[in-house]
Amino acid sequence: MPALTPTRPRRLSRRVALVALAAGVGLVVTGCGSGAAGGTPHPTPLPDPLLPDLEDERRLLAAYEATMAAFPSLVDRLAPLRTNHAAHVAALARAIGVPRGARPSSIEATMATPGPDLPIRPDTSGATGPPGTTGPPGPGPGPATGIAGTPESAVAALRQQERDAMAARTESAVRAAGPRAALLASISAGSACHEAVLGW
Amino acid sequence: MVSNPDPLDALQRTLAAEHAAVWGYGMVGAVLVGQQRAAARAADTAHRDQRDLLADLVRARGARPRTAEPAYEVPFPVRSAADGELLAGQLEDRTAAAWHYLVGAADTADLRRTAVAGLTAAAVRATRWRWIVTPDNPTVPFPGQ
Repeated sequence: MPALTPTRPRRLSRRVALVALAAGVGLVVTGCGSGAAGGTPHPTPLPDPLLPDLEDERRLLAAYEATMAAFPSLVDRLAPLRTNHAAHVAALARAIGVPRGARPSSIEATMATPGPDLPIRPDTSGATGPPGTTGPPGPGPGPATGIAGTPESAVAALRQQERDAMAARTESAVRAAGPRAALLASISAGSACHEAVLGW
Repeated sequence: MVSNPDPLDALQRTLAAEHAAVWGYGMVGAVLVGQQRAAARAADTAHRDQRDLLADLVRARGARPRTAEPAYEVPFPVRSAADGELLAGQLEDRTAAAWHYLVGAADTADLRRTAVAGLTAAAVRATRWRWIVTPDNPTVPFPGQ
């Protein structure tokens, strides 16, 4: 008989989130052999369909970093959401099994961030301008364009990016299946929650 | 983790979670007033709609929808508005987890889309209730997981 008792902690502690983040960064940097799909020995596998989602989440993470650097008054409010996005990046990288140094050219072309090295730092208090996010805004609907103006306009820009991310992850989830669909759906729902919180 | 989850079983589980949420919101609504009571009523309506949708989806697969239990176990006494808000958040977390499971079990794109929408709606409501209790950080990184 279904009980109303929850089966998991209602929120991830900051410590746990940061540990997960650190683990994710390690995966990105060092690669994860066990995560490679099917253990295929071929050196040139097909691009993973999750790669655009990973790059999009990286852009969103960079947008939070840049906004927090530009507006220190927003740091307390945005830091928890930024931590969530860092966890999304780590989870997608883990699901893909991003190999060391691999950056397919098809993904390179979609990059809107200035450089490949995102400052994924566990310290969210630093508002001293993270390196790598202060370059010129990228092309297209780049998140970095949102750091101009006022704190209010910057938050509005992040809200729009969360809406876009929610829609994009939803479509990816519908196209995927199994655990990957579930992961993408959770990330989509996370963006919906962020969008709501930014409006409160 | 269960491998190759059965979509019909996942639909029934999600239906059971929605039955529980409808029952739980009866308790929640009784201890809330004003704006929060209105929010609880809106959530109750949403869960009834989801329950009916899921029952239809189960029937469409030739099965009988699970019915509600006569009563449910509540994790703590619900006597105050704070109790009600806490329980509401937990009800939403519980249904979000069921919808999340359904996303992974779904065997059609339509069902996945329905499940993502159900997960998202529950996650946003959970966040709203948590925001009342812990406004500093009402979000979780992976709703439903």
